[in-house]
Amino acid sequence: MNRMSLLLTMIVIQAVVQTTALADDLTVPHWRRPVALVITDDGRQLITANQQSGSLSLLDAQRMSVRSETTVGKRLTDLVVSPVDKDLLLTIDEETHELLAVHRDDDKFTVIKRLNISPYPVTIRITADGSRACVASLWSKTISVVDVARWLESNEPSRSVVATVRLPFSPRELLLIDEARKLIVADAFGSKLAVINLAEGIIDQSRLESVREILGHGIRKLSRHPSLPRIVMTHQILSRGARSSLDDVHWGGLMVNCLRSLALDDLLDPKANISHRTQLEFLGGPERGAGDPAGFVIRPKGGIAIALSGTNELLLDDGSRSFGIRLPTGERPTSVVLGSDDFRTYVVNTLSDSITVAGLRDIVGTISLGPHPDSTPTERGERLFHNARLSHDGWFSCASCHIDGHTNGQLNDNFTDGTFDTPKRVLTLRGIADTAPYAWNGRFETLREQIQHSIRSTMQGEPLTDGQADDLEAYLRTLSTVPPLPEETSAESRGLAERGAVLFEKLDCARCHKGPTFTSARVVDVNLADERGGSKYNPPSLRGLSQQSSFFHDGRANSLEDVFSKYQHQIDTALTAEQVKELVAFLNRL
Amino acid sequence: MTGFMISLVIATSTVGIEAEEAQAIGRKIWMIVDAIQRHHISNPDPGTLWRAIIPSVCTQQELANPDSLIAEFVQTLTASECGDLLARRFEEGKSGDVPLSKLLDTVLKLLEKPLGTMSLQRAKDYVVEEQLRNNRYVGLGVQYGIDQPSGYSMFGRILPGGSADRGGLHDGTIVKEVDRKSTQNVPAETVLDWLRGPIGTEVTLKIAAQLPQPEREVTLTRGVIRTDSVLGFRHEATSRAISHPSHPTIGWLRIPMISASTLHELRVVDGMVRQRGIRAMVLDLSMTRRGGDFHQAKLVADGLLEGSPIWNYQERNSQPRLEVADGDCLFRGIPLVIIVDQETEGVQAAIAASLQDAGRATIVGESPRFRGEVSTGVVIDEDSILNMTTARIRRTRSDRDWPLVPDVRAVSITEFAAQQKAMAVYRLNLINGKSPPVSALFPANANRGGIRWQDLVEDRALNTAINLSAAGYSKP
Repeated sequence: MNRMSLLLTMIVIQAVVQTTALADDLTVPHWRRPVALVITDDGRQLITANQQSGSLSLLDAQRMSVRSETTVGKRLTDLVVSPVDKDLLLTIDEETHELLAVHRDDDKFTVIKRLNISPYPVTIRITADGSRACVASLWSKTISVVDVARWLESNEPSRSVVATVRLPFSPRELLLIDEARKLIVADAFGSKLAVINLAEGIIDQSRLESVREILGHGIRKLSRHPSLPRIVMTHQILSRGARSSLDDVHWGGLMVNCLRSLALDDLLDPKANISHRTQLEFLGGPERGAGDPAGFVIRPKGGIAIALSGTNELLLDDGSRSFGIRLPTGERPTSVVLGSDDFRTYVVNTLSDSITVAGLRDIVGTISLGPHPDSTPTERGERLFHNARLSHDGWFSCASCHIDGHTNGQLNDNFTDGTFDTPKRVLTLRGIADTAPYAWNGRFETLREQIQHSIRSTMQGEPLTDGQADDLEAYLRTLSTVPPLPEETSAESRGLAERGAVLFEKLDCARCHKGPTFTSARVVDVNLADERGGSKYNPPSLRGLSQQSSFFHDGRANSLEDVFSKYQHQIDTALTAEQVKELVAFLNRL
Repeated sequence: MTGFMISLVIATSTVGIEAEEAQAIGRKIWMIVDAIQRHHISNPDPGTLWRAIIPSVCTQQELANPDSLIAEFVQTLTASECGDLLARRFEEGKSGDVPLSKLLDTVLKLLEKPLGTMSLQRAKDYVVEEQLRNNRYVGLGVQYGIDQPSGYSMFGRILPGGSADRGGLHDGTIVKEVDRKSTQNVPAETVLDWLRGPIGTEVTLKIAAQLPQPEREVTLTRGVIRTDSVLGFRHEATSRAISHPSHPTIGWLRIPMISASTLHELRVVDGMVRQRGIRAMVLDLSMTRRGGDFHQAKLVADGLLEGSPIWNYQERNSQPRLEVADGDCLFRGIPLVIIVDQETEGVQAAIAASLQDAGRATIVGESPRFRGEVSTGVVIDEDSILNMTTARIRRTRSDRDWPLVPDVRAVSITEFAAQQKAMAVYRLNLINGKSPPVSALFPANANRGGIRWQDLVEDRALNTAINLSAAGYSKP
């Protein structure tokens, strides 16, 4: 028995004494929302991490049934198995902001350790030797590096997080390149890719080697090609030059769904041009959109299986790049895992609490995670939000531009303002319930009108029924505002922010951005003309500004500092550098 | 006396009819002037416009000092007033030497001098062109012609998958009636109007007997007919070939029209290019019969460029808008050679120029006539569309202007060979079994089977492009 296993045994014994493992009643109807899946026991068993129920489900792959379900947290977002101990799982909880070490003993899961981590963890990866875990925290914009062994054996959790690297974007997908000791981090909303050096020694901010961009947004999965030195990813491209017209949507001019690969060497070399050897494949086409490509697997012997989250399908290619086969899955397939036999693929259907099991060309079966209640209007609305079939030919869903209800930060040329060739920044939908009127020009008095317009005009879809509109509106109204960056709420920034608040009032910013929503019903000419000379806008809410990367209707300002220093937005005399700092500190807390 | 009275009545009646026609034409002229004032890129004032038109509606004497007459026309506030004015002048014998039947054409020609392209088009034809530009032509999926011996209409070619194909019609079908109206010796334009209609509507055809089938009636439903805008060179009967038969690693594509599907089709070709090891590409934009839409041209240029400026687009009363390509491009790493000639339409010329300015492509051939004017159709009345310049495209390099000057001049071919090439090009078949673009201008008895290499062997521009392509990719 190696040191790690002995250590874990001791910890488990201690945990059993201290902690009660809750085995759930599988017959009680409830929603689970699986978001991650791992395969264990040489492919005989599957474990899912469930977001809504905060539980882990253990499935029998052969019998295609659930063996047990155990609540371990509140809102699990990812799951990995230790490569050195198959009974040790690491999972992360976005609600409690914790990393959990879970021991599995047959059908039972027991939390043996908890570690506070940067708020809003969403993704975890573990190195091949099991020594380190990397956690992406979405709204904290950080990567935490955890020394797993030190964490499990010590009683000083603060020393377990050996590094916290800040990023200029919200991270989600992670990919470890073990032999190079590098971590690749993908932007959750936009198109940035960062590389962090994890080599031995102190990991500090200087280990952030590069941040570069591809064209597009919504990188939903990063993976390494099994046989070529390439990194592969799924994402979308929203063309700012195309219009939200039937023709541009129909022919894939407006939104394309892609499988992109980059040369690994180029990505790991901070000086290399990552576009140089990029290859792009366009998924779907006219009359067969491939909305929201998400998780995928590349078979070692050739062939790819890609989950299309928006159309509820698994897109298969046999290596010929024809992508000719589409298999139906459950609702919102987000993740695909290749079975140990390199034959079966397991598709995680997040919104239908099921796992689709597929072979090379057909569906083998579906595993239900358990009974669930009838859907509420909000739940139905959530499904609609992620349904690409609301758009013409299934090219994109609401979630394509409004990832997680937020924004992909791109520009979209739609006809909301009555003109084309005036692309405008996609606005967040978080906190939208109380920010009427809607649209950049405040055209829509009600959320219902905005919804119907977006579906019909921007997405070129069929009008929603009243029931569908009710459901979608119900869902949108549940979207809370994005949290400010945690560091912006620290004590040291408090003083700056307080002075900033005073300045905000003194400059009469509240005339347009009135609290508590920091918007108003006004439509104001702010002297920022679009391409056709339009310059009247409904002031967008200032909540969540610290999570935004560009500002104004066309994203021309790349920072809040620029809003005031470069563009002197609605101020008559220039502010001092200190004043700008104070104002920005205040705004970043909203 | 009676004879005199009758003559007077006839003369009066004739004058009455012509006055009505003058009134109608006067109304139309007013609407043309009004549309130009509202939409033309140069923002002309009405005085300038009427001054240009006045020679067509005045006497020689008035022409010497036309100011008061110009003012009279300028002061017409409505189309009817202008119509009344012209009719009155006509009755008074002051309408000038231009016959009524030619007046509109003359007015347009006079306006072209200061304003550039100016043409009237039937609204129905404009609708068809717009459908073709957006690759959503609504029809039966036929290539129209006339059977010369009988004078009846003929469907020279039936497009696979279209309504006519599904209805069991074959190439060479003779159509004697359309919705119970005989087609014999009826102008093509009229019959095409009968055949066209909104999507989902029906049309009934009487088909001439063709052994073993007797004369019969069929009812077809009008549907969307998709056509390809990106065509390849065929040297194999069944597979889609995009490479030159003598140079298999050089791709050759013709894009006779920029439509809404062009970018999508180029993306499909991009995938094929990589699979087939194509190492250089010739884009043949010569002899383009139909141009296309500048918005779609912008998307195509964007697709072919990586991060470069495309062009400056200037509309009326606005600052030029710089269009910039995004950071991805098709045919990455593959040298491009573009063929253009005098027949290259504006949209294709603009794309070629943007690629030249970005250093992305070498241009071969002759200068197109395009001078940067973007022509758009503006509604005049329910029957007519006026095509005029509503925007301008300026090149992004300050040292370059219109016309586009090729990097390598290669006059393509003799006039006879040009005609042959035009015929061959428009017989071009797409390799994957689809049919050539729908066009009412295709000769009914055109040779089928696709363009052959032998048809283009004399084409100096193509040869030059091929040689340049080969040189381009073989450089270390």
